[in-house]
Amino acid sequence: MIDFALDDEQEQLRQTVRSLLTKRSPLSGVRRFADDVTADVDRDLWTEMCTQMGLASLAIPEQYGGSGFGFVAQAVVLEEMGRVVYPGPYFSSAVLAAQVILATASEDAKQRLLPGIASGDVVATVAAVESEQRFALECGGTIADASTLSGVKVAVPDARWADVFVVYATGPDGAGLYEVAAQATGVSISDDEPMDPSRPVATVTFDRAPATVIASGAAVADALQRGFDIAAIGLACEQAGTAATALDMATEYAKARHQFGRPIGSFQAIKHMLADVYVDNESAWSAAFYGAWAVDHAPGEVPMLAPLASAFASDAVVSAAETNIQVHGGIGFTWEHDAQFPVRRAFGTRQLVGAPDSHRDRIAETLLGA
Amino acid sequence: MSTESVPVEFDTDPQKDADVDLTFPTDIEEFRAQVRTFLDTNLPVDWQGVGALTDAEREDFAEGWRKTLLDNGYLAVSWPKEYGGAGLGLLQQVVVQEEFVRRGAPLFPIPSDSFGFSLIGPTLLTVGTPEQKERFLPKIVSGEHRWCQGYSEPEAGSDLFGLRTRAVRDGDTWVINGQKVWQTSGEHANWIFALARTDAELPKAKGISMLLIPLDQPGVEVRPIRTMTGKAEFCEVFFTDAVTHVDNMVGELNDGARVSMTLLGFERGASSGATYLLHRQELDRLCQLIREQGRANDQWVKQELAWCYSKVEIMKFIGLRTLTTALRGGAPGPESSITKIFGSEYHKRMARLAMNVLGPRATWAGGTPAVGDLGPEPLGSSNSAASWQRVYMTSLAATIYGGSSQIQRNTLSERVLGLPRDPAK
Repeated sequence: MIDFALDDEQEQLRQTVRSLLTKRSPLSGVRRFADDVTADVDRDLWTEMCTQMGLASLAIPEQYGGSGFGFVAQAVVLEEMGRVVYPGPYFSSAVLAAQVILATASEDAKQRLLPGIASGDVVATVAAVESEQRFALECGGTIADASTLSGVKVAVPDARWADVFVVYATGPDGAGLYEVAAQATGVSISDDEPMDPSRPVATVTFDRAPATVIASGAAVADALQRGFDIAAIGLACEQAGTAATALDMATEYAKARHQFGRPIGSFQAIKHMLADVYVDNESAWSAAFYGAWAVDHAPGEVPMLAPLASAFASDAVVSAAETNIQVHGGIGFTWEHDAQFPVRRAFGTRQLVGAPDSHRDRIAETLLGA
Repeated sequence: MSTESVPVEFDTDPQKDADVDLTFPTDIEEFRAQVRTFLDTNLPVDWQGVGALTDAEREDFAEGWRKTLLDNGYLAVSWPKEYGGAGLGLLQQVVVQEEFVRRGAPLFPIPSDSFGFSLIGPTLLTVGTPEQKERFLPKIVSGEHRWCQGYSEPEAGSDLFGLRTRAVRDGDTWVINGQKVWQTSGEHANWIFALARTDAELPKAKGISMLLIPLDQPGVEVRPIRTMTGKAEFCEVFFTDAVTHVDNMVGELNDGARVSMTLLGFERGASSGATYLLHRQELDRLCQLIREQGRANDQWVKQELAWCYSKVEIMKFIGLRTLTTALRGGAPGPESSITKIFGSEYHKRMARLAMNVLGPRATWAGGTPAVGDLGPEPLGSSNSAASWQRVYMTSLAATIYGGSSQIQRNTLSERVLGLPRDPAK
C-alpha cells in the first residue's frame, strides 16, 4: 500500500536523534570550530551516537557488522544532523566511505573495513578528487605500486578527523581504490582554513604512503560513481535539514524583528522570499527522501535520482541560507551570529559529491540520449 | 558521560518492516488491468491520444466518448452510486486518472465536466442538502447541467472576498445583480456556482453566500473574453435581476467564503499522479523538440531541461506525500498547499525554454495548432511552433488564475510558516 512517509520506528529515531543533537550539538556549537580550526570533534557524543545508538551502522548490512536497517533510516539521521550543522565525520565515514566501500571493495576489504566504520571505532573518508578547477572523480595523478601510493588529493572531507583514507589511484592494473592509514608515514594533511568549519576539507598529500588495494579492475570507476551517487542522496538529505534550519531561523526572526512599527514578517517582501524558500525546501526534501527510498528499494532509479536530488538540494540550501542572512539584515552578517554556519555548510557541501551543473548535465544527457 | 540517550530499539524484522512503501495493493493492480482493457477496447483503432485529433475530430469524439464513459461507469468515479457515480475508493480513482492520462484519453470529455465533477459536485456531496444532491448530481453525470464557476469580478480578483455581486431575497427567490469574470468554458455552461453578497452590513468575507444560478434566463448575459492567445478560453457573466430559487443556496446563509474554501481541498490526493504523468509526457515532447532542433549539446538548454525534469519528478514525489496523507485519512498537509505555485511557475519556465529551443521558428505560428486546454498539452499533441506558442501563452495565465502566485505566497507564509498578517488587510 502506498505510504510515502516515515514509519513509527523511523519517526521515533528522528525524535531520539533530534533531542540528542539539539541538546548536545546545537547550531551554536559550530562556533567552537569556527574560532579554532584545530578543535576536535566531541568524542563523547560520537561514541554515544555510534556505540550506544548504532547510528553509523544503519545502512551497513549485517554481514559487515552493520544493523542493515536501510538507507531511509540513515536519511533521517542525516537530515537531523543537517539541521544542527553537526560538526563531525558522520557523513564522510558512515555514508560516503561506507557506500564507496560497499559499492567497490573486495569481500575481504569489506570484512576488514566496514565493522569499524559501523561501530564508529574507525573514521574513514574518501580521497577521490584531484582537480581544483572542476569536481571530478579522478585517479590519473595518484600512482600506486604494490605497497605504496603517491599523489595529491584535494577537498577531502573531514580529513583531519579520519583514521583511514579510501584513495582513488592508478595502480599497475589501472584505476583502483586503496586503503591508507592516516597516521602512516608519507601522509600529510594541509591546514587550510575550511569554508565550512564544521566539515573541514583538506588537501592530502601521499608520498610513498603504505597502501593496501581494496578494489581494482575495469568496473571500479562505475562502482565508485555508484557509491558517490548513494552518498549524494544522503548528502541531499543533510542539505534539506540545513535548509530547514535556515528557514526556521529566518521565520522566527521575521516574527520577532520590528521595523516601521510592525513585525518585518508582515511585509510581503519578506513573506514572499520565505514562501519561495519553503517551496524549494519541501521540494528538496521530497527528492532526497524519495532518493533514499530508491537506494533501498529501486536501485535502478538511483543514477537519475542522485544528480536530481543533489543538484536540487544543493541549490535549495544556498537559497535558504542566503535568504536567512538577508532577512536578518546586518546582524546576520556578523561573526557573532549563527546565520553564517548554514551558508558555510551550503558551500561546504556543494562540491563534495559532484557539482550541481555537472549533475544537471548528466540528467540532460540521459534524457536526450546525447 | 550522559546516560540520557538510549540505544535505538528496532523491534521488528527489517524485512517485514512497514517502511516506506510505494506499491499498490494487488486488488488495485487488478483494477488497473480492467481500466487498461476498457481503454484498449473502447478507444478508436490507431489512437494516438486526444492531442492528435483536429478541433472538429475532437468535438465529434467528445460526445460519443462521454456516452461510453457514462455507460461504463467512468464518469464521477468517486461519487456514491445513488447519485450516478461509481463509488470507487481513492486508490481506484488514482488508477483511473493515471491510466486515462497514459493513453491520452479524456476523463472529462466536455469542457464543463471538470467544474461539475471536480468542484461543485464534491462541494454538494460535502455540504449540499439531500434535495440538492438528488437534484443536481445526476444531471452533472448525465451532462444535462454544464457548470462554470463564478468567483472573480472586475473589482475582486486577488481580493476575492471584496466581491460586489449582490443577491437580495424576494420571497422564494434570490435576485442577483452584478458581474462575474473569468468563467472557463462559460460559453458551454448552463449553470453557474457563484459567490454573491447576501448581507452588505456584515464584514467583507462574512456576508457572502454560494448560489447555484441557471444561466438560461433573461437576467443573465454571457460574453466571451478573447485572450492574448486569440481564442476565447474564458467568459464574463452579467446578472441583471437574475433569479434563483432559495433552495439553490449551498451551505448556510453568509457562509459562502468558507464553502468556497472547502472546495479547494478536493481531489488533491487523487489527481497528483495523473498530473505528473501529463507533465512528463509534455517534457518527453520537449526532449524530442530539442533533438529535432539540434540543441541537444547546448549547455544552457541542457541545464534548463535538467531543471525542468527535476521539477516534474518532484511533482511525483510531492504527489506521493499528498496521496499518503489522504490515505492515512489526514487533512491535506502543508505539501499540498505548494502544488499550485509549484506547477504553474514550473510550467512557465518550461514553456519559455521550448520557445527558446524553437529558435526562429518561435516567431511565427507554424504547424498544427494546440488542443489549447489550460495546462500541459495532452498526449498526441503536435511539436509545432503553433502548439508551443499556445502552451507558452496559457502558462502566463496559470500563475494568475486560481489564486495568483503572489496570493499563494501570502497564504503559504501565513498559514504554513505562521508569519503575521499584513495589518493593512
